[in-house]
Amino acid sequence: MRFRTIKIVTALGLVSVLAAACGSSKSSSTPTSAGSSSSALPATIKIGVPLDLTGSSEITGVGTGEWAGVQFAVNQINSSGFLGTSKIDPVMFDTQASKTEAVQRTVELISSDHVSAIVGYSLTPSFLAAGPIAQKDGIPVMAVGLSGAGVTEVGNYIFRELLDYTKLYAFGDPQFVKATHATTAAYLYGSDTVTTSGQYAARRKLLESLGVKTVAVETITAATTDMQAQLTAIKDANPDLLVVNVDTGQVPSVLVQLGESGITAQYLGDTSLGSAVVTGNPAAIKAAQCGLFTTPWVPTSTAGGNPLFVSQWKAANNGQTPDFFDALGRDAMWAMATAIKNANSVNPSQIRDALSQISGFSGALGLYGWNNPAAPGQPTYGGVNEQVQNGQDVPWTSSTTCTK
Amino acid sequence: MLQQTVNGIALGATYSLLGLGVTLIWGVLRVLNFAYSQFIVWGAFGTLIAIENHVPTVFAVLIGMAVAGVVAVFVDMTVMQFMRRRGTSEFALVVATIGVYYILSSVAQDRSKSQIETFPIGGFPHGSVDIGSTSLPSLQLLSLVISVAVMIVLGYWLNRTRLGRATRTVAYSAPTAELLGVNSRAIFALAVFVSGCLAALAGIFNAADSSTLSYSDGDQLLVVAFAVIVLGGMGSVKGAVIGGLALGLVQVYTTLYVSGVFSNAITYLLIVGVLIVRPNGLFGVREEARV
Amino acid sequence: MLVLENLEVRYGKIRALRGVSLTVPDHAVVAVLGPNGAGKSSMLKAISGTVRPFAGRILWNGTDISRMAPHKILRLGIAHVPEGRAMIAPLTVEENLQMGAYITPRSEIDDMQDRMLELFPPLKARLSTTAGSLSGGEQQMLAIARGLMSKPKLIAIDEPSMGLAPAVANDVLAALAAIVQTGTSVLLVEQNAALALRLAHDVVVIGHGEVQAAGTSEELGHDILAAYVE
Ligand SMILES: Nc1ncnc2c1ncn2[C@@H]1O[C@H](COP(=O)(O)OP(=O)(O)OP(=O)(O)O)[C@@H](O)[C@H]1O
Ligand SMILES: [Mg+2]
Repeated sequence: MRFRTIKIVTALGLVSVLAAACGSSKSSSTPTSAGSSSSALPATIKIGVPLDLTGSSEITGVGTGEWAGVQFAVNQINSSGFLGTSKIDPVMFDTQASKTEAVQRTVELISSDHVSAIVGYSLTPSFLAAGPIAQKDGIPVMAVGLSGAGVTEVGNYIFRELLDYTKLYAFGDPQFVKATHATTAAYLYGSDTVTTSGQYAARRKLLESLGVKTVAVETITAATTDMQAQLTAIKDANPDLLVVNVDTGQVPSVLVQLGESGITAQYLGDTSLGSAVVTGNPAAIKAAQCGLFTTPWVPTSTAGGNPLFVSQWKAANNGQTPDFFDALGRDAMWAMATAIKNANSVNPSQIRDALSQISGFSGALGLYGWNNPAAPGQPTYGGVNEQVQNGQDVPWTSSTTCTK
Repeated sequence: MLQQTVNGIALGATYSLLGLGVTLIWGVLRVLNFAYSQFIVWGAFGTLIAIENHVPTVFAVLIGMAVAGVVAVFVDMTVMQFMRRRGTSEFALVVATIGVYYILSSVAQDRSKSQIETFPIGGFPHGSVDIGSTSLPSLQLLSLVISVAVMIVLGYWLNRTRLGRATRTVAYSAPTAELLGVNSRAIFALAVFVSGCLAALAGIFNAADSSTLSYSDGDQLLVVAFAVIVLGGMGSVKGAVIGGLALGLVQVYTTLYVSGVFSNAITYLLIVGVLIVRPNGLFGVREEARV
Repeated sequence: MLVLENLEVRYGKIRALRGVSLTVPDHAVVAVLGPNGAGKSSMLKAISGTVRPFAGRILWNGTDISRMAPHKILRLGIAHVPEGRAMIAPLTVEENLQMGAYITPRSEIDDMQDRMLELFPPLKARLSTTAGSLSGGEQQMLAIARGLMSKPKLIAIDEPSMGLAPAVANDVLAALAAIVQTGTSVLLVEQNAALALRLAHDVVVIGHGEVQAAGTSEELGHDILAAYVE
């Protein structure tokens, strides 16, 4: 199937380099008519791009990265003639990490700018406030940077670029369990936020279903600075795996104290192991040696169109490596363009249908689509398994070895 | 079990250190200083910047302590002195400390761009030390030793030295102390400086324990400090020590036997319980006899 | 020699002293008499720097000390034993004495303490008691002893007999007489004129913040004194 897609893309006569980077789609019900140019498409296609560029310290660099990725995609799409003579015109709004701003701008985009679709939203709360408006008015949305649950549940016009993080564990953890032959696990999680406690619950259920017995469960809160009591209890339980889901800011603290504790269990972490808070902290990254995690994307990933994306991004940005948010923005806009091309129409409901049929999309996050009938609106990529080795994140496979 | 008791004592010792600094300012100046939270942060940042500039760790720690001490004295000599001289109420003084907290906090936030910074711990002790059947991370052992040393030195200083007696006299009545030849403003400054140094020490150990530092790290520690002195008795050195140890042990045992989720709730329940039985805390002294 | 020139003390609108002038020569005992609210304590507070005069000057051996901090004035040799004794209640008797010797050279402290215990024998047995639990007489003795520990050239004492039984007041007076023998000047504020006059040669009577009469006890005579004071 994947190979066939690429062949079709090649047959469409696109430059092969571009094809790998930009992705394409195969759909069974909508006839693909890209080759015969986009006569049904208007000269400019307005797409709303509401993102949180400012407003809260937590989103520093998030919205701006996503916007850079979106612009990067728009430039590629427009200059390559991907949509024939039609050009995408992104209508950008900074929703300032504010729910009311997100709602107002969404109304404006739909009723005054008459956008055909929306590629946007950086924060789950803003989206949850504004998304239902788009759903009600029947405007398809590709949500860019939401990691929380409950996004696609808003309705059938809602698609997400970033998967629900519990899906990452469903992808990686079974592989980790198999490779380590683990039979017991201890859990350490932050009990005072829904995100981390939800991740703990999902992971524990998953691991127990794989036959991994729970031998210890310890919690910390945002106020916890010293974890000796928890670590001693975990050490006494002597688990094969130590599954950690705590706030990113507390991960270095966990790692450093873990390093002193004498616990030898295999560390199963989360995306925070790849974040600057950990990778930039010599003591923490040293203590994280051999730690495993699954992440949606790493710059070094070789999946799908990522290598090409990275090299093109570097060429366009003075050799700078793209970050995760750049990748998300890029894929989200390319996916929307692909749906428009496949629909050969700016009719919102036809774009929606085309989105739900995208498969074999070769993007920065891998070769994937949104066509899983069991999880409508959700991307089908699984993630990238990584291991911390000598202060760096390296791709992990079941044959990777690591010494502490 | 024994190991967990050792954990509790080690945790409690750092709590005591936090309590001592606050109890000192409270005892002498009679004001709950919310800016203390930022003295913790500024002290740790002082050390961080010194380490980044290749100052040996021991000196970097001393620099951090001096930074926090000087900031604390500066705040006291400007804002607080000004308000005291105008005869402002205690409540207004507390509000002023909150204002100072925000100013100091935003400076620290700006310097760190709201990010969690890496606190280099290469120069701090690492590994762990075996004590009988138990083991304790070296860093915690060091913080335990330093906390105990600080308690002893502070206790000796307050009770056995001329300057310490003068501090207790100023705490009791600054006008009387003045009549006896004590420069009460200098004593205020000294107490505030020492308190700032202790704040820094607590902040540095906390940062080293997690190898991270954020401008808001002091907030949680301030809550702990207040809990310690409320439990131990406001203004009492002995109370701060015992209160800190009690708090550390209770938190560890709760985590162990109940759940980490309840560790804070049970801690505060305990404090409320103690206050019902002993409104002045475990070692509380009456209003007229603090420090 | 202490000289007050037109000293004025105000608390907001209240004029506690309205231009008081007086002199305390070296080696002298001067009694200040006057009814409640006359301004006696305010005068001592101004001398020790506890309150800042509104106007006028305070000259101590020629130096204007009217704007100095109390701890500096003490170092110049003027001790003030305030009204109400100002015990440092949580400190022990010995610690209170040590605090009294805050500015005294270390080598002289033990010697001074021995002399104070000789002067006020009841304190001897109570050295390690907290000052807060002393009797009124003992507190008064401790207050004076503490004031003397700094070896002042002039000691200003505010109503030492207040609240004391006559026998105890006599003891305190006897101790004061011994202090005078050592060459220390005393500025004694009292309401008990009879008691004050047994010690003091010079008398100043204050009323409503002003000097009503001044002179030796013979000059003023007992009747006048009685009229002003009682
Ligand atoms: N801190 C103060 N604030 C306002 N008024 C004051 C203050 N201290 C004294 N006064 C007023 O100043 C006047 C003089 O008081 P002062 O205490 O000097 O009198 P006194 O002669 O010592 O009286 P007593 O014999 O009762 O001790 C009184 O009217 C008193 O009410
Ligand atoms: Mg009086």
